[in-house]
Amino acid sequence: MPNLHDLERRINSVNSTKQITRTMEMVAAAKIRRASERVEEATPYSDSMGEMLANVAANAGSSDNALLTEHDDVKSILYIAVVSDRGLAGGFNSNVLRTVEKAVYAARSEGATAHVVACGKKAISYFEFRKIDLDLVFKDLSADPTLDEALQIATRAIEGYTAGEYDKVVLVYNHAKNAAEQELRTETVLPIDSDVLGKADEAEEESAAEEKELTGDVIYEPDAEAVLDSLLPAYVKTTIYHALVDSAAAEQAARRTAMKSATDNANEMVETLTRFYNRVRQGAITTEINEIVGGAAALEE
Amino acid sequence: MASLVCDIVTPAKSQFSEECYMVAVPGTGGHMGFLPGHAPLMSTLADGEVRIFSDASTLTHSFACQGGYVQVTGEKVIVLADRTMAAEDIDATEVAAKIKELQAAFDATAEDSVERSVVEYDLRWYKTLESVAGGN
Repeated sequence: MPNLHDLERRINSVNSTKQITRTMEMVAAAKIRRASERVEEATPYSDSMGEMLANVAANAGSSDNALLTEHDDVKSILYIAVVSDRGLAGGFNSNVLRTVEKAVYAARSEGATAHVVACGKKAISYFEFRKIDLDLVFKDLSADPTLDEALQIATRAIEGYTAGEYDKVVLVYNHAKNAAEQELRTETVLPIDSDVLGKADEAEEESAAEEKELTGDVIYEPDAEAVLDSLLPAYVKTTIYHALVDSAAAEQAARRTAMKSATDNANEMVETLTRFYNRVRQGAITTEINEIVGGAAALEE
Repeated sequence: MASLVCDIVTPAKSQFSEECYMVAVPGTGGHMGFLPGHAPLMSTLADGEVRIFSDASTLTHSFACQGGYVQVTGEKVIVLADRTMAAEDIDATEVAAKIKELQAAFDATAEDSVERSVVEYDLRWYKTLESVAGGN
């Protein structure tokens, strides 16, 4: 028979855990709004950037910009893992980390070297434990990504790519599909996929006539190539910044979902435990009564 | 009167969107002004001041901008800048202090280091702010 006192202690402990998870759920819910607002604010820029790039690329013809040329031999790949500084967000971090880890091992087995840029404390500890070297680390920023962070990553990626140090740059992050769902995304940042540019072009042709006007005779200052050359790095930077912001929103959403189910589980557990507690207590009382009745009956005889 | 819609957008947020008569921007090849019906144009921008006029002689808004691009269609001007700040929000004394501080940091960092380029970037921004504030 379990001890009544122990049961009581367990119930109390589950209750206090529940308090924490419920609070975290509410905090995350409040932060989701701020984070998704930021995604919305960042969207006009990246949209216009993509649109401009598509326009310029269509006009500049075949450019031999270093960021567009694919390297024939993919010997060295840079992975940018975007996760959070804190845990307790369900599968949010481990999804990204496991994907990157697998990719790193896959690259190694093919004889290529893999480099990793870690954004978020969780990524740092995960990869350090597995003895995977990190090229660049960022921490304490996951909830509040800054442009500087994106700029540093982009600069590193671009310089490395141009110098031939990296042959491919891949970005892995969680996209906040909506307030409840996250989607793991793996995007190739460099070389910039000319298909992406082409697609953006087609989409544009379908859109308003005003846009069409643009694809005609556009004046470029200083000239189309120069504009393209300066747009490409900015595009990379924007892509990375957007991923960071997006991931921050996804983090809060993931945490809320995780904490909600933790709270639900705690509720269920308290219910089961309380029921068990009552049964044990009642059982003890019944036994006691039986003993008294039995004792009295024995005296009467 | 025909009018232009001018949007100023930074990576962090959309800063400004309003109808106006003329927009003047600092292109890398020199200053440019856009009136309604301007031919489609796309240009890189230098650091400097973007000015917005509600009619031929009234300057309504002025922004300090760093880096970026401008895209012009007949009725829309989109300025994509790395950083912007409205001229009336610039605090000249604060900017001067910042410049001094950054200049010192710039001199202290080693040549060709990553920090140096970051500091230089900031320094250019505050110098732009100073010149825009000084012009008013």
